[in-house]
Amino acid sequence: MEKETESIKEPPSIAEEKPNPIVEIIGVDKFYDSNHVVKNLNMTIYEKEFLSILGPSGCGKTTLLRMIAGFEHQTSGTITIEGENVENKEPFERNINTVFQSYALFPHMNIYDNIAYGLRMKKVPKNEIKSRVDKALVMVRLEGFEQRYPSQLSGGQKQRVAIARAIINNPRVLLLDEPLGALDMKLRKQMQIELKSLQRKLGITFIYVTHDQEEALTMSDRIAVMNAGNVDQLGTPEEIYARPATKFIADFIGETNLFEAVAEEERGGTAYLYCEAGDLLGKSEGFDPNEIVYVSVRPEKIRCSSQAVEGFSLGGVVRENIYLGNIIKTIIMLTNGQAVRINTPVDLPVPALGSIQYIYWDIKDSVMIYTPSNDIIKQIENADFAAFAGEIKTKEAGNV
Amino acid sequence: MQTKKTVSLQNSFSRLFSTFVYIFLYAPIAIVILFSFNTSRRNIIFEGFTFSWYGEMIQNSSLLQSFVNTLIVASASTAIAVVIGTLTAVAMFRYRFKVKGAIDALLYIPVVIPEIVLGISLLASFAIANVPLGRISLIIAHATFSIPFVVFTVRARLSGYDRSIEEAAMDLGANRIQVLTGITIPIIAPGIISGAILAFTLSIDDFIISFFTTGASSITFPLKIMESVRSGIRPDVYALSSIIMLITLIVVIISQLSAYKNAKKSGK
Amino acid sequence: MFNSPAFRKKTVPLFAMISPVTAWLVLLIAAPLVYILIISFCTTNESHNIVFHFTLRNYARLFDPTILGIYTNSLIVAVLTTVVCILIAYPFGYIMASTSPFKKTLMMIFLMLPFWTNSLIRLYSWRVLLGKNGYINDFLIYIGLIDAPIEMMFTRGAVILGMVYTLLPFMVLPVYTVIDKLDNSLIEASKDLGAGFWQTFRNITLPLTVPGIFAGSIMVFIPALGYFFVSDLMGGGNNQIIGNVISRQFKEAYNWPFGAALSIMLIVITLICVKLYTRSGGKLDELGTV
Repeated sequence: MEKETESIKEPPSIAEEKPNPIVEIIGVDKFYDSNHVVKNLNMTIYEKEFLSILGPSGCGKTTLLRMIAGFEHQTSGTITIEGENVENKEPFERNINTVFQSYALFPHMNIYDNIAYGLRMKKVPKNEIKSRVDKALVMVRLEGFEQRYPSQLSGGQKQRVAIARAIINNPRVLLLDEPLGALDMKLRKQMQIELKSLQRKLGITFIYVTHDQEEALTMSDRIAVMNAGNVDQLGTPEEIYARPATKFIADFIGETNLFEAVAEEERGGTAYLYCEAGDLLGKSEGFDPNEIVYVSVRPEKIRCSSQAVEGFSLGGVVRENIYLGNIIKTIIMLTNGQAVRINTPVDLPVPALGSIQYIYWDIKDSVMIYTPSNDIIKQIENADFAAFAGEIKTKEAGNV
Repeated sequence: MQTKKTVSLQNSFSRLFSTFVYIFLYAPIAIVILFSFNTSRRNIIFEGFTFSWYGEMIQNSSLLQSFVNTLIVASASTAIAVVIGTLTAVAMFRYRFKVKGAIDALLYIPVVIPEIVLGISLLASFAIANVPLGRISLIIAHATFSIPFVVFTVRARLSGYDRSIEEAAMDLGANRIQVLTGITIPIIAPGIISGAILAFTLSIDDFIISFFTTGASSITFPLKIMESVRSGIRPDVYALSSIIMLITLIVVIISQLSAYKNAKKSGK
Repeated sequence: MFNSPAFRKKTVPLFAMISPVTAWLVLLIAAPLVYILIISFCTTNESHNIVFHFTLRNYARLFDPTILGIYTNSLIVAVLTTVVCILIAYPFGYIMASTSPFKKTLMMIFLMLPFWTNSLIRLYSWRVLLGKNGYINDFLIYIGLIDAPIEMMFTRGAVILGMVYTLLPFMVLPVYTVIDKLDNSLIEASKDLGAGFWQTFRNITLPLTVPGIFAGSIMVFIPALGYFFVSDLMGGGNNQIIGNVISRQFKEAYNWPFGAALSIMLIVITLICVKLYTRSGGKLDELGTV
């Protein structure tokens, strides 16, 4: 499966030619009553790219997608599509189509009528509809299903109908709202590859909402990671995996071990740090002494030995060796109680259960995540301090 | 552990019990059909076989008139209830609004309170508003108790309805009217139809509310029956009832068959 | 504000959709009930016109021994009707829920079919069965159970029979629905844990299907207080229920204020029943689906 992933991931084509923006989101805010679900969001989406919006449920990603489609209205800010402000455009006036999470196939129409629906609304001549539906059916490999009803199809087939129904209208942008969420694992993997090659063949922009980080990494040219209404990082999958910008992303994308550490000194590109469980090394990118940083190290990058390695003093007990097919996952409990996960290929030796081990890594495999000052401000804003401060203010006003 | 013996005992009990229930339900109907062929005009003992009451029934203009009136009232009140009820159900499903709770509560009143209370309160209101008691007041009264049932059946249908289906249609270029006529209404049609059937049957069979809200000019079939109880119901009423039953039976069989076929077609 | 997208998309269609029902419900349900409440405190003059003069006399009359007697009779009839309906509907719903889908549909159709024919005529034909010269008496004499025909019509039993006959499906439908929805794996789990048929029934099936019985009871008990035509047809004037008294005030005695007070009492009884029902976890929705 890993190999398949590699084979379809090519360097993003948009890097070579000068990309044209197709959707621009400028300072968009969305409130549901007093709930601030999308916070001053700015993003430019380019022609022909496959952009994933990745985030946990409730982060505002679906709301963002629905605002682009026109089902929701932003509280403030502007969305432009092909350079045109779409503020007053109804969903049916936008040259954008959506593939819904629940597929939303019309249950009272057969597959042919479902796919032809958009063209009929545009009053396309009958014979042209016929040839285009036939072509779309071939494209999603559903020839011969024209007369069936949605309830007679499997999940994967429904998914293909939903895609055919959207792309037949030649939209400039296709929005996909967790379209593979309801499929089983195997089918999902297969559909990921199909979707990616479809996008390349059609050359249209895909905006793909998902909470599945692996899905986003597999398919996207770029990924926007959303968290609590903000875009925390926007970049290629490689950038996001290798250099997560925040602790949240490091934790959310892939599996990782995070060490909360204090910087001691910096020598020759190496950072000397210490944490509760002992000393460790990281790749230095310039920091202030005594600053708190997070060191993120992927499980496949951690190694262990029975003696402490120069610069490291993180010791612990091997608690579990879990066989996972291609790898063995070792859990080591450090002295401060933190569980460190290590992945070892099955053909390599693993430490014995119950033995004392010291962990270390190559410093180039570590990622230092600073907690920038604005992050701290954000945390304060999100906390109840603001409400508390407001309360004090009103109290004071009351006293006067 | 259940043995074969207890299972077969249960089965024979089940069969016996349901047979008794159906005898209880159908014995009076058998009497109605049987006595519509009775030579005696008194419905006490079956004396002999005749078709003559079916001929007399056609001659009995006040009886036929009451039946036609029943059909008119039922059709009109059902039409009103279907339009208002469907709009209400769709609005309550789609939107959140301030008076929703109040409307919901008011809708339950005709369902829960005894029919007689609704009947007399409508009678009193028609009196104070100077609405003459007749066909119009009857239609209004029947629509009043039918609206909630249409709302509930349509709402039950909508509760399994995925709102993104409407959004998908809009996304594909359908405007609001096209979404309503091409997507929403066809999908909730089964709910509307069963609501309409319910409203229609409630109206046809209604006695209590009609008793209070109509005048001598607009007698319905149930009122006609009650009227003739004192002098003894003549077999021509039985004849008409038998014919109505036959029609109902045919309609039910056809509708069930088509529902069965539909279910097969959509693979359920 | 009137040009905002939100106004155009929500307020206008919403107003168009709910104003008819709002007007209808207010004018034909809320206002009439309020009017009934008002006239229940009024008096009438000699020509039976309502005089808006506050009095509690109509409510005091509710404690008149004759009226109390009728109330008692009516409550007895309604309670017994409900109990008999449960005793018939529960096993019937259970049997129906445990057959094949095809038989279920068939049983349901044949349960509902009689109710698509006029209920008065069906009630009336019970006379042929129950009367002194009726077929049931003939049958009982034939098998030697009785020597002389007994009077079965125009008794309280006949009224209850008529009520059960008219209201039975309102009990069967909710009871059947809950039994049918019951997760079969619960029953299997109970049997797996060693419970027999009756233990499973008592500990699992019955407690989980009580809401259906409650819903059905509401839908049988309340109409049974008001269905005066059943008592007219089956009781022949000897076994009056609350509905008869109310009906008489409006159609014969022309004492609307007293009839209104009787109706308010009936509403109070109804509200108490519904309150008990919702308090025990029942949903009003389940009352409206039949």
